[in-house]
Amino acid sequence: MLVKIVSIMLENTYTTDDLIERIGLMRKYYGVKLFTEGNTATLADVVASECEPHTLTAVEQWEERFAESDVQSIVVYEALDTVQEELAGIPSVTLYVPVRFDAEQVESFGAWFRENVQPNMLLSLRIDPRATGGCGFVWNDVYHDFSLHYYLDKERDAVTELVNEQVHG
Amino acid sequence: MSDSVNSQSLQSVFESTVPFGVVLWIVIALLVVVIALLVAMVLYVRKQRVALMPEMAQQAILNAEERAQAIVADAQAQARDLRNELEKERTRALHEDHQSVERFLDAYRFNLEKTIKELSYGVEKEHMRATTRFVESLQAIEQRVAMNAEEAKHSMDSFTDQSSQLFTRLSHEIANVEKGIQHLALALEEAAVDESDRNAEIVRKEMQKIGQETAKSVTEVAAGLDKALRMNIEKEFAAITSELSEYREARMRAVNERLLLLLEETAQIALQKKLSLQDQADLVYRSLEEAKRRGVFV
Repeated sequence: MLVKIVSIMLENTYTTDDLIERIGLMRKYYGVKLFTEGNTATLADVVASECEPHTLTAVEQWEERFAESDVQSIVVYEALDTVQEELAGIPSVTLYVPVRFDAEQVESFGAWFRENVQPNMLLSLRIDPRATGGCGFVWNDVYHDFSLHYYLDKERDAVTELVNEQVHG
Repeated sequence: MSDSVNSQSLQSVFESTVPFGVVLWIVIALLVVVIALLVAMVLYVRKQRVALMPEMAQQAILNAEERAQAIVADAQAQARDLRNELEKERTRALHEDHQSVERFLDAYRFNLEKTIKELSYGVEKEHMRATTRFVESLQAIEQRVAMNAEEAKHSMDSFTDQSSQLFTRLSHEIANVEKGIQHLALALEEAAVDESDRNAEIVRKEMQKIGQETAKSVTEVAAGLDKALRMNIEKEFAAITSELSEYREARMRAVNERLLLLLEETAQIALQKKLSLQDQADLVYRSLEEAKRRGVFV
């Protein structure tokens, strides 16, 4: 059951930060729904004021998918802590980008990794201006630099020659 | 330091809680005494009930009750005072603890900031030292090359002087030999007048032979000297050329490194300012594809 719950969560969640935020929202929602007698509050009623519309849509999709898969709310609620504790077991990559991208773009990066590297992996996004001209990432505990620095270093001789030609005429 | 502060606070709290326990025991003891007195009085009154008049007995009971109530009220007031006093002590101790912790934290923060500043200063200093050393080494290479060139020039001058002196001496020696040969020839010609023609012919031939050998020897010496001179000059020239080439390469490497660094910094600024979000995203994808091509994710 835990695997099914995690799989549903990962269907539309690509970053570690998003997953933690959404688990927190779900915990709050189920806290109200399950433990307040006669409560008919929806996800939007409980958490809309605390998150972006994009995030609200994502957790609403979770709820729909849990219902479709016959996973009861109480089961999901009880599994939330375990999912959060087991986050370290999900394969992840730390991606360093030069600027802040919007949520859709970040999800697109996450989709690239799932398609090209490993399915169901999570992304930890960090902003670092030194990654200008490309990006850097930590994979298997090793930092790989594919920024402007990498490209200049790769074409070091040609660039030097070109610059010298320009400088010395 | 944190441990000592905590232990002091615990000690002060402990000291302040011990009297409170004692006081509680005193209060309980007083209550027990009062209850015992009441019981004794009730028993006494019952025993004396036959002898006492009902009014007197009632009065005695009332008096005893009043006294007991007074004692209990007094004990309660004392306990309340003591509790208030203890509460004040506890609050004071907590306040002192709080102040000690604050002082400790301030000192800790101060030391931490100081350490960070020292480390930062150390890093800057080390960077400066490394840069200075690099510049100094370049200057040293430059000086060494200049010195070597000067030395080479000096040794070449000296060698040329020596060679010139040798040539002069050699010419002088040749002239002397020629002169000697001429003298000898004259003397022999004079002697030949009195000698037979055969003897004169033998002497003439010997003379020619000596002359030829001397000329050959002088030519060989001159050729050897010329060869040695040429080799020495070539060797010195090669050494100077190599030194100059090394120096030029080191200098070019340093200039190129600086150039690339400058180019990278400039390009970084330009790319950050000029590129749209979509362009930045495209560059990220391009880099990820490059990483994939290079087999980083395998």
